[in-house]
Amino acid sequence: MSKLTREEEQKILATPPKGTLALLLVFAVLFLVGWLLLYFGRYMVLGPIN
Amino acid sequence: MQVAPLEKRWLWIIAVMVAVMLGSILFTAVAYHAHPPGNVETVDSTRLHLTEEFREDNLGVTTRPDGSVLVTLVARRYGFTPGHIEIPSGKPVTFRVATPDVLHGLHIPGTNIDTMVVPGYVSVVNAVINYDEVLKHGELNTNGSVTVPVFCNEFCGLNHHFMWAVVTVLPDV
Repeated sequence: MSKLTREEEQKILATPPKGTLALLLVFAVLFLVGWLLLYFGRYMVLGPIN
Repeated sequence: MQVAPLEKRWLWIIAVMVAVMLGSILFTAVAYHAHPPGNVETVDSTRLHLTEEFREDNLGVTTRPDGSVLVTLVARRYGFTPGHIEIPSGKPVTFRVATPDVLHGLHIPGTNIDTMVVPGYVSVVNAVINYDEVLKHGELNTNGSVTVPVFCNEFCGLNHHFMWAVVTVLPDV
């Protein structure tokens, strides 16, 4: 049972979800760093091919 | 179409991630000529041994006047001809590989040389071999060279797992 008032609920719903955005940013940074490490640290270091 | 503000932000984040990844690939393609081999060259597989280039006497390693190296190989069930080659590290090496029978693969550990050898086509891979990386995958010889195995990595028949050769990589001098 929510003890929040109607105004408090509306305020929360109107506020951007900062935690979710932070989680997305953490995921994006980890993904990008991992990809760059694999590309430059594991793939390109073996020597370019064409 | 209504898109929630959070989803819009996530779309921008994805756009930045894709831009960074594509930018890296584009940068290495331009700066180091690193891109998938795109050579299309046909050869009559049934008469491969009769062609000038893939005749048995002409297979192996050739050093060009500019110092780069040409390696001509034939992949057949179940081995490579020649079975042992010596190539330098730190210099451009061109592999030209063909097969008289079925689909094969060519993979040299510690390098990015990894290509299919399709009947009817000449597979061409240009590479520069990194001695330190090959050293992690091979055996160091007393003269400083490193010996690594070459594998067929496309299933080509019952004895596919016996199909391999040897490459000796010479140190960069």
